[in-house]
Amino acid sequence: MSDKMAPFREVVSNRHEWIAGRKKETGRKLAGYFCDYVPEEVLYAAGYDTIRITGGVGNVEKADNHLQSNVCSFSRRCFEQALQGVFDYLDGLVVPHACDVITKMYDLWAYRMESPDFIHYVWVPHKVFDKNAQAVMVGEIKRLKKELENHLGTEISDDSLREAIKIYDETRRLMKRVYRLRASNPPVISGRDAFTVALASILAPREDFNRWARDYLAEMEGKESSLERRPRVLVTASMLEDLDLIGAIEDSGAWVVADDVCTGSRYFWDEVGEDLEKPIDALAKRYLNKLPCPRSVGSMAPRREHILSLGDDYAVDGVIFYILRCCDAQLFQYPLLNQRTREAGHKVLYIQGDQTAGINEAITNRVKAFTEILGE
Amino acid sequence: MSELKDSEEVKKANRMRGKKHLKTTQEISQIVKDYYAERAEKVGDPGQKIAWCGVAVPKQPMQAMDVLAYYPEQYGTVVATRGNPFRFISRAEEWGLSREMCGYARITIGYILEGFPEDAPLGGMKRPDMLITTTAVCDTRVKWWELMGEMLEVPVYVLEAPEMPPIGRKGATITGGDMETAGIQIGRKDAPHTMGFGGQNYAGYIKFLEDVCGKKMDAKRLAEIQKASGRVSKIRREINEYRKAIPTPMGSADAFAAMFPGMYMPGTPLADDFYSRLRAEVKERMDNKIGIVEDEKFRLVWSGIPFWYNLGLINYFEQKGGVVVIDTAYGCAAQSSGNPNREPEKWGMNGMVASVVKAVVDYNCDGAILSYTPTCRALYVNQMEIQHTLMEELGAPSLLLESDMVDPSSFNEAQTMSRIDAFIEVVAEKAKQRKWTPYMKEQL
Repeated sequence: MSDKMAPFREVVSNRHEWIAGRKKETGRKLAGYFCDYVPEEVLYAAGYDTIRITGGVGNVEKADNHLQSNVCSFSRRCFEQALQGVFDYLDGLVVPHACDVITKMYDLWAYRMESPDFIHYVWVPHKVFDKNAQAVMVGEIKRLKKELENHLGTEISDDSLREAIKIYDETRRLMKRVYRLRASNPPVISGRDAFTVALASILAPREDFNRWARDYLAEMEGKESSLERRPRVLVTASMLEDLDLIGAIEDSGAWVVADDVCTGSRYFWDEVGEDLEKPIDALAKRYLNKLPCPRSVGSMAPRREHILSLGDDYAVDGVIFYILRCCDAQLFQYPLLNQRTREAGHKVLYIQGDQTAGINEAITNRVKAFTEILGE
Repeated sequence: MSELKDSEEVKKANRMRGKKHLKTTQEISQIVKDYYAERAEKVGDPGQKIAWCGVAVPKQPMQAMDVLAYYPEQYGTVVATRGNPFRFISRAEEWGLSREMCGYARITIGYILEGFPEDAPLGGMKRPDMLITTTAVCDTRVKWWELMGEMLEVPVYVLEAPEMPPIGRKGATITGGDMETAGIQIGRKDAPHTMGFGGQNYAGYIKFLEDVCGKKMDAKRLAEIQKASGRVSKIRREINEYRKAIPTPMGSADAFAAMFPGMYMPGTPLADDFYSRLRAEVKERMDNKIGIVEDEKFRLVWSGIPFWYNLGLINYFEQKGGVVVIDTAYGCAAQSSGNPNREPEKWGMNGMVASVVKAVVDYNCDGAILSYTPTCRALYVNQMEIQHTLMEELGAPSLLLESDMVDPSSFNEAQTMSRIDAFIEVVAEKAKQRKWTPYMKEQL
């Protein structure tokens, strides 16, 4: 096992303390954001390091006073931590129009919490592929930029946006290379390591992450695999921050080699690119045309294509749908996506996720049974 | 599920059918039947187009294009009140839809999977040529409609309405006009591009209708229908104004039924005639101080979707001397708004919370029933905040009642009735000691 994995592991396993400590060292402001539709590059250009809001696994007590159990456990856990003061290290928070529940994260946070002092809502169309979507997304990115400029009393230049885009695009390229380490059979790295690196990419400051990833790839690329051949699994999910699931799959005798997850491939698969004459236009185009969240109109076809194309490229044997309870967008797409995935020759397992319960014995047993079937 | 269990469950679930008090509202059952019969009759006519629509989609453009619309959410209520919801719900669940998903959606998908059976309540919804929905209120429907589009292989139009939160951190501000849209704010002045996108979506909706129907929109006819629809809305606002009176001449047991023509056939002579007669009846009752209950002891707002298979719950409050005066999901705008001696400092975290707080003020109410359908996130993600804000800002108690809107298997009668009895004691006591004066527009 490479010691170049150590920084990724540390930031993932000890995220809040690590981030708060790192913030003191760098002296930079820190902005949190939900989901993968917030153009982080604007925040970075304004002088913030960015961190994705994660819920972790655990009980919900305080947030039960605001959100009932028909709301997904991810959101309830996030607000639970907010009420506990876990996110007190934030200087800013940006919430996108993702789904009904994430939208309410903004309403609740803005109304019930006193910090951070900068809080902003970005309206992102559901119709991301609509011909009129670009103009409204450009408008929303400009509004975010203007609000940040008013709040900070400084101008955010096009050059600083271009610089931010280059840094974030580097992360995307590095992450794709990390993922390619599992294309061989057997893979060079485990799914647990790949997911740990991916989670670190949404938590750690950009310069830190890019440096760690470059060092890690320098050691791992071109290396012969020391792992055994096993059945190969793709996981599709919304948030997947409970790495115990990946652990359960790999402990049962399979490798997780690919994913369609918003904390995984959907986060970094698409770059902004080189055409940066109008950086805000380029950002809008990237965020609208990226691999879509299931909440977006027209997301079924690209999701299906992504899953099946990864299935081919990464020689996948089985697909696991990990759907958080009450995630309507995923649940409505599941029956047909399941059908199409089976038609393409993959075996499928459905697991209902719950971040208040974690990965229990029943899930572990079902995963074991699935892996046995894949191995037959 | 066996036939026997089905019939027992349905019988049990139908134990508390709602009782309407007014003469005019007794006509609704026939109006709904006629609505479905008319569609069944015209479905084979040459060129006749059928649409399945989300409830918040503007109806007038379809009326102007002679498109016959069905509303799957409304049909869910038909199945829940007149048929056997388990038949379709269980079919959808066997197919892969989860129990935690929207009950209306499970009924509709089950109905499609059953092959549009002719013995479905009121003959069912005929196969559509197009599907239209909007993101307003709930974005679950976007996925539901897309799924139906794939299953039925017909074009889908999503009319996207950019819902925005209030500016700043002090929550919503709300006016009487905002009550027309249950406090939902579409677009915002500091984000004019969102309003532009909303306008483009409406234009796209018209274009979609023209493409599917193969003809141009008659702008003059649309304007006439919108004018007629505006008149119906005005009459409904007048009726709501009368409901502020103490005792209230019309409560939600009648209003949940009476909403049908206004919601589904707004620009029609039938709707105009129905509400004109209803207005006269409500006014007469108000002038003669004829209330829903003889000695009105407490007044409530209903927030959320009612339990359609159990509308008798609304009447239960009447047996205890109270009345559910108004509901906030299906249009609670009146001619006027506000009460100068009962103005909260804040209205809550967003417009939907604010609309319930405002309804309690505007309709001189003592508390609220907050229905809680665990399968619906869009409406119910606000309910806890509504409860807190009512208490913080008005000292008004509220009761969260849990059950699915169309799936009777989720209803726990014993527990529900015992919680209602306990709540009635609290709210009746509160009503005896009102620290505010009821208010109505003087000219009424």
